[in-house]
Amino acid sequence: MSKVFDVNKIRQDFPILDRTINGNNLAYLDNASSSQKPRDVIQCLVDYYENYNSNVHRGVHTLSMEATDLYESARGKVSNFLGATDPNTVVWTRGATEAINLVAFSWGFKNIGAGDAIVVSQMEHHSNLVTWQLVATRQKAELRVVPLTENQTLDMESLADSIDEKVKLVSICHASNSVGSINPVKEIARKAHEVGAKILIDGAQSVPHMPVNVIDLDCDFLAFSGHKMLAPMGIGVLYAKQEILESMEPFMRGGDMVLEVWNDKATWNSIPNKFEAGTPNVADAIGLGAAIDYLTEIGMDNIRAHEIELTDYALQKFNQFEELDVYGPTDTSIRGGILPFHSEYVHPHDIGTILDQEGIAIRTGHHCTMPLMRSLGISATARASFYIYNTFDEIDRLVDAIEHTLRYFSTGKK
Amino acid sequence: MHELYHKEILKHAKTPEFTSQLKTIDSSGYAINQFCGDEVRVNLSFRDGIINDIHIDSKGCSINIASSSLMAVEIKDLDPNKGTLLIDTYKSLMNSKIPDHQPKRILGSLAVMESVKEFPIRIKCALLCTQAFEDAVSGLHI
Repeated sequence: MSKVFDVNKIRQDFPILDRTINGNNLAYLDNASSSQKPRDVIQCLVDYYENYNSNVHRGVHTLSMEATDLYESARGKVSNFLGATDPNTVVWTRGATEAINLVAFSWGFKNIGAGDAIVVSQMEHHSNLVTWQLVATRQKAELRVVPLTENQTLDMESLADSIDEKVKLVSICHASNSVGSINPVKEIARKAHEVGAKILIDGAQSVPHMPVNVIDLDCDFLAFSGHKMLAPMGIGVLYAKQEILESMEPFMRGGDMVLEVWNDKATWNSIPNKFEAGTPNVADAIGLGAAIDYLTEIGMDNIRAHEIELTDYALQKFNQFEELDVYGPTDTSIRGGILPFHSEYVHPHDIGTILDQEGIAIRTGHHCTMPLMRSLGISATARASFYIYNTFDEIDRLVDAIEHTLRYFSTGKK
Repeated sequence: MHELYHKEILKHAKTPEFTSQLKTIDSSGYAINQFCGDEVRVNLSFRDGIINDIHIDSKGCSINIASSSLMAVEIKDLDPNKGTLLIDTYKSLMNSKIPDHQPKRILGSLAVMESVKEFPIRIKCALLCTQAFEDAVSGLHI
């Protein structure tokens, strides 16, 4: 049973929120880029390095066994968090980008060939686009990019038209980092499976913010990053169905991923170790486990509900700005806590700099979605993005600061 | 905020100079900031070895647009060598390493961009135009 959602109590768990920036309390609204870390996660890293630090697997000494237990326990936490049935379907990576690349190199080059097709969408992060450009080019396959509707949701008719018997993989984000749209990935998985294709879900913007169950979604691959969900940077996850992982070749070669080695050949370890060459990022994997404990205690349903409230409030407040274009669907049941906006009169970087002077951290730029920006006829947006510790008061401060910015650039007066 | 957005910077950001197309382009340069997508194209026209006309096409933030405009004001009527010296001086100023033999006064109105140094993350915005200029003169064998 999760505890009652109390944002003020949650904020006390995040030391960095006590900081002032340029004389103002920090309002951290750049969560789609990376989240802040609660004391539990920070302390978990300190505890690991002070009491358990050792290399994992094969060690017979106490520290190595304890570190291995903590490390594999974290894998189990991830597995439970995703609703997976076997922790061995959880592969540690550096982040979502590496997870997608792992699929491209270990599965894509073997299973996608000349004349086949890969389907992505216009809202993909570069990591889920450029990777498949490589596979398509090298394998002489076709890369199909599904367009968006006028409110930046996925054009489901075009998607249906794109998925035919030639398609071997649909690789699509669950939620857009750039415009916030949440895609109906369960339905998309069904469409992909109808033609015998696999589906990879880029969960970088969904796993931290809402319940995600890999069995319910029936996804073949799910990639996400720890640092966007309260965990340290440098740790991420690839989930994949067991039989698919077992059919795949290793991604990288080295220690720990082998079973037996001779001078001229080697055999591979079982999954997931087959995909984890070299000394792993033990501390940060354990940190991700601590982050999952924290999120689970609050409850992913509660987190999603809080972000919907914040986003509804912000969208309503932004209605006052006739000068701003706000992108993404207005229906927050299909939108994450991401609020991208653009003014014809003030460049996003100028907005970002002025907001920073008021202690408000947002992100400005193309958000690693240059083709999406191009399709919108702009080069960049300013983007506020919310998480569990954000408040209505911070949105009020954001709105006031934008109002100041627009006035300053139109009149030159603060 | 007034320190960054000096009134001269705001003026050039709103109404940049040298935005008209050239009849003849003798040399052209381009630069893009891969992090934000801001871009600058510099087209130059020469007469008797002197930059006698310029077309600036800059897209992006106010600092990029203003610095491109002010750069054009200052390099017009210079020969490429002197233009390069001016750009080197400007880069030195923005990177806080201006040597004694490069007097700041040669920068003219471009010196106002010094206010951007208080905001280090934006210095790259103020220097994008210099990359486009250097690209334009790189093939001139000066």
